[in-house]
Amino acid sequence: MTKISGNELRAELSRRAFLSYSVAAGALGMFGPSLFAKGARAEALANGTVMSGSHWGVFTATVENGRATAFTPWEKDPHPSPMLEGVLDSIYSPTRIKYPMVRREFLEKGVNADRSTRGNGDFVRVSWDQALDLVAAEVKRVEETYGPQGVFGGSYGWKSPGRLHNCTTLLRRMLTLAGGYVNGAGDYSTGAAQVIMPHVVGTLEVYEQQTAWPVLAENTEVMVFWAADPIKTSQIGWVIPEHGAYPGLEALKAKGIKVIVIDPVRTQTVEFFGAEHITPKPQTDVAIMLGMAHTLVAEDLYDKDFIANYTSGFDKFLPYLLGETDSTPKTAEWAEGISGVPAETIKELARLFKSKRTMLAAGWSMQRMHHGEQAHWMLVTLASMLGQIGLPGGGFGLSYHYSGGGTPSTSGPALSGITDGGAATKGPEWLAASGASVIPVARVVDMLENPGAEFDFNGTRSKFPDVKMAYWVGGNPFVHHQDRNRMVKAWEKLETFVVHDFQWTPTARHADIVLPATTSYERNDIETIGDYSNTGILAMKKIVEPLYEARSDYDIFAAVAERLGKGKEFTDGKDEMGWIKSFYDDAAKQGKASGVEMPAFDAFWAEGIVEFPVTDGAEFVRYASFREDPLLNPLGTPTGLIEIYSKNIEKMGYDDCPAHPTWMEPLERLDGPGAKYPLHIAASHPFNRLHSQLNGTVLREGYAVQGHEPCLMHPDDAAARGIADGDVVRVHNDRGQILTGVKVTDAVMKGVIQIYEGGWYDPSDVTEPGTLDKYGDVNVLSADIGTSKLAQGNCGQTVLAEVEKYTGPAVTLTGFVAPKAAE
Amino acid sequence: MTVMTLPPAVLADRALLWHWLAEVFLAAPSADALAALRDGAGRKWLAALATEPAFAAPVAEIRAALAAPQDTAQLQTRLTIAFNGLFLGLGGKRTLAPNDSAWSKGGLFRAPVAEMTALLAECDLRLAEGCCEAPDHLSVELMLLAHLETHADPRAEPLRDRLRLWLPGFCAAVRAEDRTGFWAGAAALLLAALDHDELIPQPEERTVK
Repeated sequence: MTKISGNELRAELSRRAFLSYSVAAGALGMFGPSLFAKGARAEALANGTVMSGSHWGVFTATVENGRATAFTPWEKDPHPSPMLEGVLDSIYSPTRIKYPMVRREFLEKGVNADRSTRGNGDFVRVSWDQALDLVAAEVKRVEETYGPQGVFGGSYGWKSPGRLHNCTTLLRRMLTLAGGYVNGAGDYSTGAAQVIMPHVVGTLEVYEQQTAWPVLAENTEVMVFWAADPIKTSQIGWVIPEHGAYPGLEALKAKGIKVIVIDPVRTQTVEFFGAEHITPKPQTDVAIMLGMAHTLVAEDLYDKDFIANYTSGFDKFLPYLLGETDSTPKTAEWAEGISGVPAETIKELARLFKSKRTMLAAGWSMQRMHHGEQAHWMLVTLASMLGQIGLPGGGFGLSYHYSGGGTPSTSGPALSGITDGGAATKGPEWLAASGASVIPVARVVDMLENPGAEFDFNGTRSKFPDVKMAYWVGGNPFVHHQDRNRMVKAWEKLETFVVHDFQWTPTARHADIVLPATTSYERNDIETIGDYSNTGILAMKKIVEPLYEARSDYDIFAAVAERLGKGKEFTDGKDEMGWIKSFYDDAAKQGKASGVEMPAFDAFWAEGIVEFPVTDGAEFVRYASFREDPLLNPLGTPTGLIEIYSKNIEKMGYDDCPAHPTWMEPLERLDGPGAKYPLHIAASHPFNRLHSQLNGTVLREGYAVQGHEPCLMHPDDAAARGIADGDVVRVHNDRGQILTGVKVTDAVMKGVIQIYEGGWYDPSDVTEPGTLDKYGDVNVLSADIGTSKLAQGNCGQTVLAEVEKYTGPAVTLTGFVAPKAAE
Repeated sequence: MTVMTLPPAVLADRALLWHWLAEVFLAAPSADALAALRDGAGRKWLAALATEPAFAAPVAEIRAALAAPQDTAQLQTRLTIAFNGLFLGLGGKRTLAPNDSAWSKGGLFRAPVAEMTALLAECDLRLAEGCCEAPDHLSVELMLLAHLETHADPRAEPLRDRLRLWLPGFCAAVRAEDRTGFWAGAAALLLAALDHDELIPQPEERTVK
């Protein structure tokens, strides 16, 4: 025992007074530097309000002591999303990436690192300089060693809005300067439709303005939402949503228009309208449409004039419909056998649609499945037979559920944005096919597994590049891609995987180098309000200072480009506000030419928003001019007409995509031939997320069941398996296994369970093949196959599984729980 | 590396303990820190700490966590994975933010941030350039406590009260989530030390081993 006096101790401590204390302590080899510096910080913490926007709408942020404390929806937002609470929460998530981190194996061994341990969480902190040097060196190494074919820059995802901090475009801008890259064509939302529709109607269709809601309210007698749930999905927008779909839907309801919903699930839209609800077996929409088409022919109801004057190839489709080519007439009874929808219902619907002004508003899930090309093609064919395309309130629409489709367009100018440096293309920027080579975006795992192998895509045949490095920003492929276990294995081919994000998403956790990006709310930007309506332009002002060491994607890529000797080319000599002003000024110039006056940039930025007038947008009728004169206003198809038979597709000779709409058995379907598992999973878009965005927020507490992603299950299916409401269950098939929490409800039809896509993948053991996903990422179970050789879209809705009560070791999540003192 | 010969008093020094705990909850242990804790001065220090009855069990838990695997690199990987999952966000839904706000106010960057910023300013201190943590991070509060106690500053007591308010919830959650025992032990040690007044420097004599 050693006795020392208090004074001696105090003297000892005093000698090691604060600022030098840690130096002494550091000599023990256990301590880092002090967290403090001498001198109080002078600046005051910000207070006030800031207007800005997000995928969930325009809002005003309240800032107190430098923290955003509330997001209040814009007073002109007709239907603010409750998800704004989660948007705010995302800024202050405990899962924010604080500083650059590198996987230890990668940091120590580079390309020789063990890639099978990716995702195990063994990251070490590095400085920004170290991280940027490392990223630039990897880009340079791969470009010099393998050429542009070695880098995959097809980074896909919903990122965040903003014309400058468009991270995917910024990535491609940097990679273009670095020497080139492999791009991904298309997207995961409409992979099949966006390829087939140009063959059928000459446009993408899925991202086009719809007949305006006021026209529907005035003219439509029957509104059909087929695999579409606009009450749910209209909360979000690719740019800043104006939420114009809601007044549109409310107008239909107020008018008492008959609404029919065709969906295996009793959706929010069914509830909103008190709609007639038809529940088909999933993946059987084409069969039902064929049954309706057959009814129209059998009962001599179809519009022969429309078919004759506005379509091409019906004569080659008709023999198939009638069974003359395959001995199977596509009768309503035949459709009942496949879909479970009574033949008489199918016939009644066909008669009703023909007798009333009917709008067939289809969602996209029906094409996100094996042979998904056929669904929208057959829908257009059915609409053609009804003969109402181009009439006010009739025909078909493929975007009434998305980003405010149908909201009257203004006459405002278009807002430009930063470019990737490649050749300009028409259409949505994320569909631009720049890059050294291109693969269909959902075939990324095929690419990794089969370098050099040939693949078909929309009439072309190419070889998969031998990719060595992938760089992902603003996306979450470890949630949105199908067949997770196969994907995790395939990812091991990559020597290097770089990710920017603001949160530790499953994708970030599987990276080698992780760079912390700011949220939209920690940087300035500019964006359009309303995807289709172009309601105005919003100043997306910075709300709070960047948290931790986060930097904007623009700054990160500019720094990487600088290290590659391309800094000036990347920035073009502009800073953040310089770019934003240039986009605005371009729009103002356009506006002036078209008679839309806009304030000078400084006045706009101070005001925060400029709105444009609606002139004739409220009267817009899609395909009206085509209907008025198909010769003067032809479609962009080879015949200028709606192509029910496509000679171009015929020439491709694909065995999985015939030249006219065709019922084709998917890989697996409920009660289908050889179905190995008894339940179909409806992997729909979530209600309280944008795909996987916001899964890591407080919103989860409102829907998780025992901490897991919910699984809706019919009472009969639950009873047959001894499952009760609230049970944790293991959902499994040959591709994998996930845990979910059951909600027993008759909102789903028997034989179908619903697990929303976008749940964050949470593997039990990343090194164990087929490991249990503890949270409930439905894409562990879905099939990773192309829709067909034509579009090669993803098949996220092609999935059967079995469910059992979970009896394994406890993994129940404790979550991020505040103590009682905070309640 | 020069090894300082420190008087035994230092080995049980409360301020040193706060600094060590601050490091424990700030970052995963470095290879040097692990080497020191297993075989160097840190080992003796832990042994000294363990002689305090209130610290014996927590320190035993920490030492057990440091005992295996034998290979330091493997141990470092194990602890790094655990730290990143527990505190840095890689644990996703299970992340336990080591911040006052999260436990006293139900979310990050709330009132304690401004309060701690003000307290630091009162002490003529600010967060160093290389520190990106919020001022209400556990490590910041502990290092400031070390500073205040070292200087017999009366503001130490309200800071201890602040810590006493949120640490029980946080430490209980750490115990529930930590599979290594290292942070569970450290959290227990933290709670024990917070209420272990004997080690608060006082003018009167005290005895240490």
